[in-house]
Amino acid sequence: MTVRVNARDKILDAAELIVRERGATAITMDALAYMTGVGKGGVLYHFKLKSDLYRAMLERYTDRLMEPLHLDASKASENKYEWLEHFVDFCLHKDELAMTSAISIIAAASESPELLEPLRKTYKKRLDRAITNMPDPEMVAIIMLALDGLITFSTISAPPIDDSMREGIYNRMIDLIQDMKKLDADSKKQKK
Amino acid sequence: MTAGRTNSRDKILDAAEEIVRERGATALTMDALAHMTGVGKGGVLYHFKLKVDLHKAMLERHCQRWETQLKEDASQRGNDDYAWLESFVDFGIHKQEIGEKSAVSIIAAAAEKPALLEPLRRTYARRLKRALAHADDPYLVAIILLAIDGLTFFSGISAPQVDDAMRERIFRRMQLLIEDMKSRQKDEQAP
Repeated sequence: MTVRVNARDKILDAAELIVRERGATAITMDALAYMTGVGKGGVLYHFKLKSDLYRAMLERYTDRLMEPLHLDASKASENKYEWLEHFVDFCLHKDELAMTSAISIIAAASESPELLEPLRKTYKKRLDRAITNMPDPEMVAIIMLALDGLITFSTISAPPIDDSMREGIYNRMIDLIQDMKKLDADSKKQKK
Repeated sequence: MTAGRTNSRDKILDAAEEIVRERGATALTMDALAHMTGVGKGGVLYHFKLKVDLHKAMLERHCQRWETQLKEDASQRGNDDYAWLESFVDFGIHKQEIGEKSAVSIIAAAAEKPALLEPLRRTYARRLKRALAHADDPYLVAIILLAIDGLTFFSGISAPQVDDAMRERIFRRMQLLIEDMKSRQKDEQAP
């Protein structure tokens, strides 16, 4: 069983590499069989159709996007601002997210609108989680959308934003979150 | 260059956008284009010898339209330091068809050959540089730009992160942020 799971991941890794470097049109079952060494039968065992492969690639990507939601769930629920900071940190400092080449995976999945359904659901869940009980939900949404823009477009061969810009954006986002936190605390004090 | 040729070129590009939007990036082939436009495969090949030429043209046409419209809109707003940013935010939120066309040409190129996106990267870098040039709070401007980019791309592929009501609230929040930056700038310039 573990062997099978590993082969499946190996195929998905190879598929990501192909879409990132050569684009979705270069994905063929033959190329995957050759790259992974699992043979064409092995590839077809895991993914009968190309759409199965695209679905799995997109699912793996959305799982990664949801990762910070699961991390320290108990701790994060105590402090919604800490969770948001954690999320910003995760998006801006985890290289593996950028390496997944969001645009290319989405391009591969674009052949059928229902393939993008898990992505849609993930976005909704994530945003709902982020803005719940926030006094300035629009500002939180702006931060989340900016992270989406950054992650998605930094997967274009070379990002339009260099490291110092990235750090500047990171620090500015943390400032914005700290400001919100302070305002929130102040208004609670006044109520008392 | 006769008008007829220009029209069939645009017709092919329009058809290419439609194919990607309806059937996905991997469905875009020269045969599909010839069939859809009625110009024949020779006609398609006359305008675009290689598929990469087609993708370049799709991205270029989209970038040019967007830049021209933004420039016009910004000059109507008086062309002050924040006029371009205001236009960009307004377009990004309200002209969803622009976002859709941009997303379509981006994913088409990404599916064909990711390196094709290089000119787009340069356009984005230029855009960012211009928006930041006179800003007192450049990173906040960058956050607003990226948020619009993220929003238009995912709405364009029919996977919007927010609904229409939230979209409008985000628009007003961005306007407020820009108003704040403007008034801070005025205060600093005041004697």
